[in-house]
Order: sequence, then structure tokens, then C-alpha cells
Amino acid sequence: MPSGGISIIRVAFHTLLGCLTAMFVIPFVLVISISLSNQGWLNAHGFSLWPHGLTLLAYRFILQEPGIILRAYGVTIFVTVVGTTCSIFLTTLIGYVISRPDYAYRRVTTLYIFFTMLFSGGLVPFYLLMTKYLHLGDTIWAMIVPGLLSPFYILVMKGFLSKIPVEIIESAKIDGASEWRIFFRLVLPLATPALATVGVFAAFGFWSEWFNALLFITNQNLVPIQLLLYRIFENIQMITSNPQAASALGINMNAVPTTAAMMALVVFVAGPTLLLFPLLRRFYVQGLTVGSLKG
Amino acid sequence: MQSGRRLRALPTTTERMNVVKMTTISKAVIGAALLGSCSLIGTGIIQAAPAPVSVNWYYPEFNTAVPPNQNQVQAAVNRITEKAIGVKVHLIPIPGGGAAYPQKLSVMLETGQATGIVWTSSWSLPWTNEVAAKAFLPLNSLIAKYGRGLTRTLGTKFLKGMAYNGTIYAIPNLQIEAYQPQLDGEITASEAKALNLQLAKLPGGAYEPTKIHTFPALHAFLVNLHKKYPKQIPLVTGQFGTVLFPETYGYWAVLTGTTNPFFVKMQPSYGKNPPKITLALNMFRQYIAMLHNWYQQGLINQDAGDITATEAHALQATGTEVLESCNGVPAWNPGNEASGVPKGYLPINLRITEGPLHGAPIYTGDASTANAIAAATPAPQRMAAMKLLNLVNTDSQLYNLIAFGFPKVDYKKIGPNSIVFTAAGAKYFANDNWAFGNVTRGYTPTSPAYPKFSWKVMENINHHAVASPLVGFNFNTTPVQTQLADMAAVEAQWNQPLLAGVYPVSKLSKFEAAMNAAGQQVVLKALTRQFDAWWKATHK
Repeated sequence: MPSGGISIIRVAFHTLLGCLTAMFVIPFVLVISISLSNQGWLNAHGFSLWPHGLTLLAYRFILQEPGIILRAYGVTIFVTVVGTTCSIFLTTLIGYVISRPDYAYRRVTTLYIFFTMLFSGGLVPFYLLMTKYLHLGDTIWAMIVPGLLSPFYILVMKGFLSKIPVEIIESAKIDGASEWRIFFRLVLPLATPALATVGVFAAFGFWSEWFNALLFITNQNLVPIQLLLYRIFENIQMITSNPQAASALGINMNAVPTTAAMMALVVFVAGPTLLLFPLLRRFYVQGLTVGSLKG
Repeated sequence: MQSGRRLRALPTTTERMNVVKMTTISKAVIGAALLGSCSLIGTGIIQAAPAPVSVNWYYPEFNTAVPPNQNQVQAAVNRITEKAIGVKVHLIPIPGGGAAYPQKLSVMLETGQATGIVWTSSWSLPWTNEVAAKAFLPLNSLIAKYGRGLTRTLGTKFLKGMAYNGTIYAIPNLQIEAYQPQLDGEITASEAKALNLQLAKLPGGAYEPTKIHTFPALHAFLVNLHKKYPKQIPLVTGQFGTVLFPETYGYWAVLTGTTNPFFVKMQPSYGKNPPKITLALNMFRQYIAMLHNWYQQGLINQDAGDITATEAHALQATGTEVLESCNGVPAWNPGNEASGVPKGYLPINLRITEGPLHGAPIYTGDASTANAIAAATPAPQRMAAMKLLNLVNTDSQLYNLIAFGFPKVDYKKIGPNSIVFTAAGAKYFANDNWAFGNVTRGYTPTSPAYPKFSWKVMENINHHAVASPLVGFNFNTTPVQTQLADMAAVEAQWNQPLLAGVYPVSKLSKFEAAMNAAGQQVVLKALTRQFDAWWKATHK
């Protein structure tokens, strides 16, 4: 690419990227705008990029019982932090083992892991395993254990760790380092980009988790934010589709911020992950190209 | 924060000694009494009270969380049930309502992890699917032994609605089981009161909303209304179009749901020979032609063929609509406009204009919700579950507690049997009283929207309702699942513009051809075969 001056390719490239960025940013701006708009205005005029009749009613509607929301956030943060930490550790452990050329059964082990990507055990056996055999029903671990290991992440990790020269490991061995020491002091620091990539994937997975919670959690104190928001969403849907029920309860449909509240839910759910992503962006980009170049 | 507890002065040495003495004496007395009673139990003179049997009860909670007073209400419920029938109930509400409940319970039932009473209905956790999957217990013998009271209060007409191949699988929660066919149930308006006042000034006769019972009369009324208020759209609809009630045209729908195109012509009696199932194409033609005519006259919103249900509701909420679509509001009973219809609304009834059931409310069983017993429930709990269902359906005190919670907290009594909800401070009630049993056994809830509500209207409708002769027939769809899926895809494409009046009748032949290509005739054959066999088995 020529240095200095404005080449046509450069302008086209920037325009394309600008359009792409706009495609991602505008919908989210729209979401925020709707969440801050007056429901009556939305009903009458539709959506706009700028909030009309600026109001925080949708957020007040969702935060009617802040204690429940805060507790649910707490559960989700616990699940995300503990789940992601354990997931990264276990994924790296397995990825490292099957990446070592001196491990005799690495092909069989890799096939064993890959095979689980192709077939799922099905919902019923999964439910029975979790509740009847592992006795994890209605415990916080029901939201953590199923997401601990993903074959895809293991293979991503293996791809990255395979690039670490065997000589480094061997020299560490000559220096008298044990396998655990090699893993913790050498492999983990070298694998930081891959850890960040897998960590972001895993964290998003744990953060967005709601279906396992729906299946296994009954205890009100263990409900994560996503399940709670799903319930709020369902209730709004019910009110919207049953004006009769709303009328019977004396609810003024125009006063309920239905659309605005749904968009406020999106802000609630997406907000923290939006903050997390820029922090890990540096590692993330590096991690995504893992295995794409042979050094 | 004030804890409510007060600090107490520490006891003196003498006091402590007295306590020790008293405790020792008490222990000795209690110990002797226990030993004595043990020996009496051993000799059979005194029977030890049997431990109460615990029963789970799963039901949807239309709220985001388990109510704060759930445990207190459960404890109060158990005080009644343990004393009356020796049963301890564990109430398990599943927050998230209509969507979360069936997802959770269907897996729990399939894996045998749900035991006890399970709420079911035709629209959420469909009971016929669960019966076909053998997830629910047959209840005939349990009802005969432990459910005599509920049989008396519910009546066999509605119990039979929960029969699958002749066997009853659930106890219906009696509410509005029957309905009057109606395109639209109420007249409301944006500025409801203002417009209704003007409506009252409209010419009488056919234009009086309470006297509209036929489509032509409704049409004339809408045209008149549209002339008077040109800015208002008389009928706003969207995704699901209008609802076709085949009964209005003198047909029974063979399958539940309004879009399944299989019907049986209404007759005074059928005898032993099964009635013929038809596609009733003429009825569709008539209905679509009428709607399209209305659409062209501007009586239906012009974007009805494109907008979603949510968008339609939003449009309705802006106040452009004059008629609001609804099912189930008891607009049938003459004079009920003063009792069962929301304030500021006026009822419109479309009566059955063809066939022998002119003017009668009908019962098809497709609107019922019910409580079943999970197949994985152990034997002692099965009996306990049926005893509990029987008690809830017969004991008003228990029903009111389990349905509405505590007085003053969840509701305020405004008459001997009528209450008003305290929506803002409610700690238990979540508008799901209909999930527990026969609503007419409990308090009459009133609200600002329904100031003169009365169960009598519903009871009257239910009492007079004519049961469809097809109640109790359940189609096993397994052999034709592919065809049904293809038909559903065709319907998903066509239903909205057809049932919103956007398409002219000339397009109907294309829709019929698409349905035929999807395998409608194959389904018709399978349906007829099963239906004939069921009819012969049940009409000996």
C-alpha cells in the first residue's frame, strides 16, 4: 500500500469498514433510543434513532424489585467468573496434553474429543445425568459444570499450544522442572492470547446461559440474570398478547412500556459484555489468528 | 432498621436455677409421658398419627419470581390439608409463565423426575401430547374412589372433555369452558368512554351493539360507525388475522385450533354412524369473501396482511381501533353487559346462525386448563394428589387461600364473597387463580375494569352450553406428522392475508392447491379412519 496520499483502495476500504461498523452500531443505538422513549410515542410513530419523550420508565419497570435483579446479577457474575476460570484451566490442561508430540495416545484422545462435537447425547439423558446421577439439580453447579469443557475450545487451544516449540519444554525438563511447573510457569504464560480468546468465548457462554437454569433451577436465590430477563420478557409478551388479562388486573396497556422495556432488557444483558470486550480486544485479535500462520 | 426484638435483662442466678429445676422437671414429665404413650402404642391402645403424605404441585407463575409470601401461603394451606386429608402439599410455581413452564415440565415429565400434580392445558404443556407420551396417569379409578366431590361440583360434561380414548387424564379447572362464537367480543375505543357515549346516541335497531348477532348486522354497524368516525379503524388485526368460528356457519371443528380445516356439519343427532369429516370449502369462501369486502371498504386496517401481532396490539393501543378482538368474554348471557363486560365496553355477539344450535353457547374442550397427575408419582402420593384435587375443588376456604393468598395483603373483601385485588402490594396473587381448580368455588374478584363481575354469568353459560359431540376424540398425529408440518408451513404463509381480508376469494384456489400438495387429503384419510373407529367405540 503506498504511503501518504489517499488511494482509492484506502478510501473504499475505510468506507466498507465504516459501513460495517455502522451496521453493528446503529441497531444498538436504536435499542438504547427505544429503551429511553415514551411507549405512547413508540406506538404511534414507530422507532427512531433519537429517543422521543425521554423517559426512564422502562428501566424503572424492570427494576421494580431491584433486590431480585441484583441477586440475579450476582449469580451470573459468580457463574461467569468461576465457570470461565475453571473452563480455561481445564481446557488448557487438555489442550496441552493432546498438543504434546510425546503423548502416545494423542490421536485417540483428540478423536475422542472431536467425536463429541458431532453427536449430542440428547436432552433427556443430559437431564437424567445432571439430576439423577450427578445430583446437580437446583444447585449453582448446574449452570457451571455443563459449560466447563467445549471440544471446540479444546481444539482451538491445542492448535495454539502446538506452536510452542518442544525444545523449550525439553530444556525446562533438563533444568529439572516438573510437568506441573512447566505447565504453570512456561505454557500458561506463553498461551496468554489463546487463554484470552477462549476466556472471552467461555465468559460469553456463561454470561448468556439461561436454558440450563430454566431446566434445573427452582430455587429463587439461584436464578441468573438471563433467566430472570427471559421471565420478564415472557410476562411482557403475555400482557401484550392478552389485553383482556391486563384489563382485568386494571393495567393500563398504554402505561406499560412493553417495547421500551424489551429494549431496556437488551441493554441490561449486552451492557457488561460490551465493557468486557474492549479490555480483552488486544489478546482476542491475536488469539483469533491462532494457527493461521506457520512460523 | 428496627428489628422488632427487645433486649431483655440477663436472668439472675435464682432465676437461672429455677429454669434449671423447671427444665429438669419438665423433661422428666415429658419423658414419662413419652414412655407411657410408647408402651400404649406398642399395645395398640393408641394409634400413632400417620405422617402426612407429601405431594408436589407444579403450575405456571405469571410473574418474574416466586411470590414473597409463597412459603407462608403454603404453610397455611398445609394446616388445612394435613388436618382434613393427611396431605402435605409442596407448591412449585414456575415463574416465566406460558413459555418457561412447558419447557421445564415436558423434560421433567419425560425423564420421570416430576411427581405429583402437574398443571396442563390445551395451549401450554398440551395435555394430549403428555397423555400420548404416557406422562400422565389415567384417573378414572382415582376419581371414583377419592374424587366424588369434584365430580359433583364440576359435572361430567366438563370431566369428559379431559378424556383420551375414553379415559379421563386430568381434572379441568372450571372457568369459562363454553363460549359464544364471535368475531369480536367487545366494542371499545381509544377514548373509550367518550366514544361509547356517542355510540349510545347511534340509531337503535340493528345498530345497537347489544343486538348484533349476525355478520350482516355487524357489517352494517361497522359501516355506519366508519362514516361517523372516519379517522377510526373499526377492526384492527395483524399476524393472526381474525378468528373464524366454524360454529357460526354450522360446523364443528374436528381438531382444536381455528385453522385446522377439518369439520363436521352440525346435526341435531348423529346416531351410531359417524358424521362425515369435510373440508367445508364453501364456509371458507363465504368468510374470506366477506372479510375482503370489509377490507376494501376500509373497515380493517390496510396493513393487516403484513404486521405482527405485537404491532397490531401497538396499533390498537394508539386508539385507532373500535372493535377489539377477544374470545371468551361471556357476552352471551342477555344482560351480562352489566356484569361480565369491562367498564366502558359494549358486547357484540355473533350467534350460530345456521344449524340446530341457534343462539346456544358451545363447549369444545379446547379452552380448558386442568390438573393432571404425573405417571411417575408413587402409589401413596397418587391417592393423596387426588384427595387434594378433590378438596381444592370443593372447599372454598382452601381454594381461596391457594388461589388468592391472604386477605388484606393480596386482596380486600368488599362483600361477603367478593374481593378486590391489591395489585400494588400483592405478596402472592399473580392472576393465576384459574390454575388451581373450579374458580366458581372461590371469591368473586372485581376490578376497576370489571366492577360488576359475577361468576353467575359463567356458570350460566357453562350450564347451558351444548357439548360438541366430538369432545373426547383425540387425533394421533404420529402417522401424518410430515403432512401436518407441510400444511402448517402453507398456513403460515397464507393465513394472515386470508384471515385479515387482504386476499380476494379468487386466491383461495391457490391456497387449496397448496394445502392439497402438502398432503391434506392424506391427513383427511387418516383422520377419518381414526375418527370413525373412535365414534364406533364410543357410540355403541
